[in-house]
Amino acid sequence: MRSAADRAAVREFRPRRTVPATIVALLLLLLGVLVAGQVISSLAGRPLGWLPVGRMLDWASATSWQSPPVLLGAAVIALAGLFLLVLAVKPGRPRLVPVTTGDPGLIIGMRPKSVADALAHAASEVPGVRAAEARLRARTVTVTATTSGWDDENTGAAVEEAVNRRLADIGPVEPYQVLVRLRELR
Amino acid sequence: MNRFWLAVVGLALLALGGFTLVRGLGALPQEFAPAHEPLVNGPVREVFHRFAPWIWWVVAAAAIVLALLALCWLYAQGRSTRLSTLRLGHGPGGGTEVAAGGVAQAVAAEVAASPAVLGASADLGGSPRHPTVRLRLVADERTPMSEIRRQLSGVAIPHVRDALETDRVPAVARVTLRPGQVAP
Repeated sequence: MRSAADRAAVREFRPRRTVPATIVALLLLLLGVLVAGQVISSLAGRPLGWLPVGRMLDWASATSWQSPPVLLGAAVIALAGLFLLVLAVKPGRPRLVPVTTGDPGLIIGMRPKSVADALAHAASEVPGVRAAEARLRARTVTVTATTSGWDDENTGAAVEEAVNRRLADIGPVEPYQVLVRLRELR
Repeated sequence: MNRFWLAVVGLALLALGGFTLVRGLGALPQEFAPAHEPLVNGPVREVFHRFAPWIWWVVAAAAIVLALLALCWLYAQGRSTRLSTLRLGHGPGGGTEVAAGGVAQAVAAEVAASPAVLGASADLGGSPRHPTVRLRLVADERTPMSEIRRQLSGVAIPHVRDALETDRVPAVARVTLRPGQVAP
């Protein structure tokens, strides 16, 4: 079970869906203003003519529910709704790696690139390793170490241990699995 | 909040599109909702005629409510802006106003005082009564994380709490690690 501080950290760095929210809010605002302006001005006896009401009414009076444009439009609207639902329901991956702090008032997030670089650095310090790269994906860290080709078995184990030690020090809220690949320098 | 309203709008669109599709494809009982009728047919006109003109006032009011809700939602997007002043003290006679920039600079300087930290900047967000500290710091790649944690939660954050005279100032730190200078 995660602590409240850890959960707050994960939540803090989740995408906020600001862009889709802004777009949808702007469209709704536009719709509301257009309809309100048109209807109220018509009620006051001076239609503003923002919407081609006559043409829309003629079209809707002549088009049946089963006509292809209506069906196509309905499908597009339903798909757009589904897309928004997916955006709303999927939490999205945090853009920073949340790190445990043990202090509910303090939230720390690290750039994924920084975590990868730190792990690569830890791997490159292992004797026998010439250079190392690390890549962070969903829940795994892949470390590729270039070795001199001498005693690879022990080097691999040592790299794994060094990377795991550094990872434990960084302390991400969500656990990562470490995969080590060795590449022999020729 | 964004996710909740996106879900509401998404559900509404899905219901509208889905209903139109179902009716257009003739899946509803044809005596109630025939697929071959035009979108605006006799019964629809009759409803609008019978309740005119006030049905149009209802439509206008609904449109205004929609526009206002959308405006509130839009306004909420820009709320994570930077604070410029803080209010200290909660007495009935009011409190003291403090420039947020000075507090933020002091925090950043305090964090940067650690040899492991190569650079730090800070600002304050939230509301003047309940501020939050937002820190960005660059640290040496070889720094143990415990050092950064200690510097933040042991030194810098308690000092902010003292300065702001509150027990709890939530802080969010974004950490970037950079390869440090190689020792000579």
